[in-house]
Amino acid sequence: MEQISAQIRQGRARQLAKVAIALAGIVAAQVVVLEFVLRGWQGENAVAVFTGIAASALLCILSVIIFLRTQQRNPQ
Amino acid sequence: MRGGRVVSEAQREKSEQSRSDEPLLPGLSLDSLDDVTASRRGFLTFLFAGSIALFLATVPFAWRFVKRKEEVFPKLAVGRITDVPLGEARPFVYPGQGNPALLVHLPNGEWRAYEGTCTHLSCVVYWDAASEKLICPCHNAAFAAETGAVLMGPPRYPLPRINLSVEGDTVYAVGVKT
Repeated sequence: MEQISAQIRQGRARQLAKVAIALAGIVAAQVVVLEFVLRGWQGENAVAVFTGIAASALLCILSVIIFLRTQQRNPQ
Repeated sequence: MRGGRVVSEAQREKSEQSRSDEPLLPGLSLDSLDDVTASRRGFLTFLFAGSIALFLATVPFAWRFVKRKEEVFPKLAVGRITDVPLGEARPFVYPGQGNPALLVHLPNGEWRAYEGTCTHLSCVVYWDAASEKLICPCHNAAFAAETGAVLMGPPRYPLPRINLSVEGDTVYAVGVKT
């Protein structure tokens, strides 16, 4: 019984690790997008700035979905 | 010989067993997996908050473009035609006191005006009559007098142009091209 419980906890920990990697990837992409927006802003390129903001918003929504799904699966 | 091998195998089993029991890191064992899960959950929350913060950090950059559309530029007398001979330039400030600008009287008789700060690192540019270019002294960048385009140096964007209007013998600045 204890072994099963340990396995479940290990599985949960592994799942959280995967989610953490996904979120870290999203954050890294957002950093790149922020740099893109900054360059667009410096060059007064409105299209680049608004495209970057939209991309960042989509990534943010993705991170919200992933985070909320994690919360639902592992209520604590 | 055989006895020695049996002993060594027993030792190996024993050492493997003890290795599987010992934690990967000090203080970390199977029993403390809840702590690991909790710390991973904290890390997830940190990444999630970071994602939201990064998105919010991009939003203020849009303000410049939203604001600029509503911006109304004043009409300002920059100087008289006779004040600036052909092939010469004259500094002025436009649209505000903190915005240096440069009025250029091209050798072909046309007038041009540009924001006077370099698009690279905002150093104040000057008119070089010999080469008929706008020069940034910080990194030896050069801009074309006719278009404001980058001719040389690290800037990636041209100098923003100021719209002019010549009325009588006076040159007026009437806006900044966006």
